[in-house]
Amino acid sequence: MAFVSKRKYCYFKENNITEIDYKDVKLLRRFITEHGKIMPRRITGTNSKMHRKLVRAIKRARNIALMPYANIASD
Amino acid sequence: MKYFETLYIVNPNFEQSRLDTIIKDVEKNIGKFGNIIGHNIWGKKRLAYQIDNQKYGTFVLLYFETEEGSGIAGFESYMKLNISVIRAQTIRLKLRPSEAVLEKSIPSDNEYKLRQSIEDGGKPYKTSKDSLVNDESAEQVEMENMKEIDESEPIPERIDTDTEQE
Repeated sequence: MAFVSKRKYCYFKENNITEIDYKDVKLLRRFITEHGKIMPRRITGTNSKMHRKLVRAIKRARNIALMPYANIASD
Repeated sequence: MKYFETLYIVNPNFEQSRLDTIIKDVEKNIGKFGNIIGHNIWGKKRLAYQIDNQKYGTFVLLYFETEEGSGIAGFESYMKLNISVIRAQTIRLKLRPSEAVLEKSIPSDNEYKLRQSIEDGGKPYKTSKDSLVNDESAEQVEMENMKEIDESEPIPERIDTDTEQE
């Protein structure tokens, strides 16, 4: 049986997003795992330029307590 | 002109009057080296993790502009030393914040919600639903998202079937 992979695409390119705001937690939550870790580019399909911006935004959101550093520790 | 944005968290147990004085002090401090563009009180929100044994915090968003970035270091150290401010983060903006953002940053929009949440004493979810403020902005959505995290299912314990059979 042939393995059919799901097509990966850059979410930001599809939606014409050029800047990522760290306050937009709803958007950022798409790109973290349930434990709060940042998902790798090979899984999300984000292009490298936007992934760097995404990482910066997530780290800023973590610093100001809008997003968790780790979900396990908070429980 | 350089544009900056500061998001800071104030102790949630403070009354409205005390919060106002803190905001005035911050504005006074910025007045030394720059101009304030807008101030927006988000209200009481649950923190993603505890800071100084606080589970909640009053978020305040501030936009300001300066001719030179020289006063920023002093401002950041002031915010760090301010005991009432749990945490603060200043970020440089590329462009002047748009009018849509500034309109949202009128504190009176959230005043009712904030007061209500402080009176209730740590029940922000109730206030977000019951408040008469018809501003269905992203804040409420965020609030709901936060709630979803809290109610996430616990990790089921693994049961070793081999040991049970024995």
